[in-house]
Formats: sequence, C-alpha cells, structure tokens
Amino acid sequence: MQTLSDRELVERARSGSHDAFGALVERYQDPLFRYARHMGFAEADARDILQDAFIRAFRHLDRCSDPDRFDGWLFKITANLCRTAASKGANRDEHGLEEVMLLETNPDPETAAEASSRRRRIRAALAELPEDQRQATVLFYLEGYGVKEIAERAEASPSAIKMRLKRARESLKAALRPLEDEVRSA
Amino acid sequence: MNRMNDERLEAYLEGEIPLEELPAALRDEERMLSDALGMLREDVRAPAALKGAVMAEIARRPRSRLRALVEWLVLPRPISVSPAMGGALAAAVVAVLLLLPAGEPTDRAGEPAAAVATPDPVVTRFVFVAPGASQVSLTGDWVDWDPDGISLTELRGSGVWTVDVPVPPGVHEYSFVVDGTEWRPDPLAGEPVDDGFGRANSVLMVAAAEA
Repeated sequence: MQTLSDRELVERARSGSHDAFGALVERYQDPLFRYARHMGFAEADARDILQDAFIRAFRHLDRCSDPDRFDGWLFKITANLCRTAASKGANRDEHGLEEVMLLETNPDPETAAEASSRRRRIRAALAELPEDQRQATVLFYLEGYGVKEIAERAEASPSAIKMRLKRARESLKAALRPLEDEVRSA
Repeated sequence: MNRMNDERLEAYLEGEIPLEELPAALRDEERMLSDALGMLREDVRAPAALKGAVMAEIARRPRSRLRALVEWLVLPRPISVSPAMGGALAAAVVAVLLLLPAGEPTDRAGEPAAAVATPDPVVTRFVFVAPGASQVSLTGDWVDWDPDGISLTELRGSGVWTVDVPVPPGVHEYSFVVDGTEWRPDPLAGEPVDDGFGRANSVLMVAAAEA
C-alpha cells in the first residue's frame, strides 16, 4: 500500500478503503506532528491537532480537488487547526514541564539548564511573531522548506513569504541578540 | 538594510546563492538565527497511538455510502463525462438513493426511518462580478462541493456573471470558483465563514416555498 501514489490512495480511500487512508496517515503523520511541535504545541496538543486533522481530511476527502497534492491540502487543514488552537491559548506552558522533565533525566543538569533556558527564550521570541511570520520561519529554518514550497503551503506568493521571513528576521534578531551576547560573554 | 544587501538576502532566501555568498554582516546574522532556531528543531515522530486512534474513529463513524457514491459519480475520473452530465447523473443517483433504506446510522438502530416529505428546491439567483474571468462556477454543500460546480453565464462581456439554480431549503455554504482554481466567497452575501480547510465560504439561507 505504501508504494501507491497519493492520488491512488486518495481514490481508494474515497471508495471506502480504510487501509488506503491508513497508508496516508502513516505517510504524513511524522512531518505534520513535527510541524505542530515546531509551531509551539506540547506533545498532547500536537497529537490532538493531528488526530482532528486526519479525521476531518477523511470525512471531507471530496474537497481535496487535486489528490496529487493531498499533502498540501492536509497541511492546510493542520495549519488551520494549529491557528485555531493557538487562538484558544493552547497550553504552551506544557513546554516548560517537558523541559523540567528533560532536566531531571539529564546527567549534566547545569549545562542542560543553560540550554533549557536558551530554548525557552528562543521559543518565546518565536511565539511573539505574528502567526504568518512564525509559520514561514518554522517552515524555512526548522523544516528546511524553500520559499516556493512555503508559498504553496501558505497559499501566498513567494514575494509575500520573503517579506514575512525578512520581517521575522528583524524581530528575531532584536529578541535574540542579547541572548547571543550573553553566550559570548559567558 | 541597503538595497544591495536586501537583494542578496532575497537571493539567499530564494536558494539562489549559498550562505557563504552573503555579505559578512548578513552571514553572521543568518548563522546566529539558524543556530538559535536550530535549538528548537526536534527530530520527533508522531506518537505510536495516533494512527490507531484515527483509524478507530474512522471505523466508528465511516463515510456514508451515499457520499461515497455521489463522489464516485461527480469526481474527476479517467473516463470523459461532461460536468453537466455528471451533475445530472449525480442528481439521478441522489434521487434513487433517497428511495433506498437509509445508509446513515440512526439514533434508533433497527427502526425504519420515518417518511419525510422533501421540500421542493427554490430557484435562487446568484450574481458574481469577475471582470476578465474566462469562467465562473458556483459550488456548495448541496452539490457536495463539486469543483466543476454550476457554470455562471457572463452578461454580454460586462464582467457580471449570473445563474439561476434550484437550491434545497435550508442553510447552505457556497463559494464561487473563478477560472477553475480560485475559490472566492460571495461579496454580496454576509460575513463569510471559515470552513476549516483554508477557505472562506458564504452562507445562504433558503426558506421553503409556500405550498
């Protein structure tokens, strides 16, 4: 089943094959879960978002107008659910709990604590960005997508994505520069 | 940022030049950002239970046979069928299926569904202004979001497109599709609603015609 194209799997799923849809879930669950995590959601929230996204996608497969680009359509559903969850204040504090758990299990707690502190501040700077800039930043710097691919996923022009990235760079530079100076002076 | 640096940065973001070809100051900034953001990068995998939970929910509430059959008829397939013919076939199948035993689960399992008189569709006029468009179509939930939809006719090259469509009574979401790709809500309708799939739909309320 995993050797079939997205189009073939979507068409089989539309005809009622749960196995075909299961193959699509397997194909895309890891990158989408990573995206939700990078957008700042705790593991439990990211899991709930993805579960909702896949179930919605299955129920509305008829709205996927181009099955060859199922991945982009599924990404949009996931990104919209991330946006909705963020607007409802999905618990970003969970990241703090996860960091504490990492510290508790790390053999070098001092170094781990410094890294944890840095990550919290970087995450906070990222969270301060407007949603469209944060999405472009996550896709470019964390997921490794190019501008054109981000434009397709975000339904924006490449010029708009470049502008979002440039604005995000300016905000992040201002927020992260003091952190960088601290690291250098340490 | 001066113009030249801005152009170099854009070229870098576009992937046209490598990091090393950025001016020194920009290169340092970019390294700083990449290193910092890289600390958040996680090579995580979705929880093992996710797929099971999704598949269990899907199995609990499978897609309706009616929807699957309508899709089979109206969605693009290798055979050549005109949109009008597809729509007519779909309408015919819907009419036939309405006469069959219900395929959807009911709250009162095992009991036959009560006979419900289906109200007559109400002819509704849709108008959309799209100067320069080569085709405009209408789609909505009452046609299962068929992307080929219902074609509008342009009034003598005016950019004003219109069609009269029988719509079943009830509250419906709909959208116009310009040149086959661009989904647009109806600016003449009220505030559009987010469909949860990245698009904004217009809402239409159709009252049943008086007998």
